[in-house]
Amino acid sequence: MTTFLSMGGYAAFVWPAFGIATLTLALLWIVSARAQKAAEAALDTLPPLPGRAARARMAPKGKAPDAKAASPGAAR
Amino acid sequence: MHRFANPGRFLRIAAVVQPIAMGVLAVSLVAGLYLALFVSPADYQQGDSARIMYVHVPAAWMALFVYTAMAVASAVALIWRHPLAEVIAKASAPIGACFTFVALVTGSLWGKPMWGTYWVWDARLTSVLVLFFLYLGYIALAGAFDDEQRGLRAASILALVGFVNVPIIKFSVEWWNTLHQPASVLRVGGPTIHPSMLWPLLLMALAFKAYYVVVLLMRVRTELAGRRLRTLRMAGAGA
Repeated sequence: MTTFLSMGGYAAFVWPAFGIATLTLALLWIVSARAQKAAEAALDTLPPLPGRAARARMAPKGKAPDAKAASPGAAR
Repeated sequence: MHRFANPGRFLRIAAVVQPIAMGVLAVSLVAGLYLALFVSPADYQQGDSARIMYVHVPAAWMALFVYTAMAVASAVALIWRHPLAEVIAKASAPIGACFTFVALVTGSLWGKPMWGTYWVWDARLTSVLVLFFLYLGYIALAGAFDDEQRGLRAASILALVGFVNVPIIKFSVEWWNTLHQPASVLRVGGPTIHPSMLWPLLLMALAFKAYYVVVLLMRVRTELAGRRLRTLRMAGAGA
């Protein structure tokens, strides 16, 4: 066990190397997972869009109902 | 390729791929670390310090792989305006930066006992440091504009221009009389590394690749959700 931990005398280099690699990649994972959870939860809190028929009723008369026209960003 | 342009379809595929990639990551990581730390032999010259190779080399491979993916995605975004392409590029950048950081730090920790120095301005180390700055530059540029589209377009151009660095890194150890050792795996004539070391190396490389897929999908899903949120909020404000 001690030979394993001492890594043939190179412990001061081997374990920090593995440690920093683990820490960096674990942190990136955690940050990314949290951001995903927050973003998808925020989507769920929004009220659902009315169905297509309801949107057609809401559109001004004589104009083709088009959900995409409602926001300039949606066309992208 | 166009079948994946619709985010709904992409998200459905992502929901299937992500758990599979997590499974691959778990298995290959455990197997790879076990072989790397317990089974593989110490190097006859470098002793147990050579075990750093099992994180250093896969991280370096991923640093190059992710940048290549970013450059391809950026090209697709610029040429075909594929909506998912720039999302994938943007999501990849921090992952690639982390892999490059890990490669640099683990290499430095390996260099101190073996070369006698934490750093030297040799061809490979310098070009990988440049790669790290390119990643940071991409991230900074993408976020520097009020209009996110302009920022991503500028960043895409940076990614493409910087791609010349990837073959420079790969061939630096052949073109220059430099300290970093030449290729032992991806070289003409096949790998010169012994199977007892090659297997843990390849398993760790597979683990890192699976990690990239998992985290990439997390970040792409975050970005898509954010865009949808902004669109819906604008639609709600306009109604």
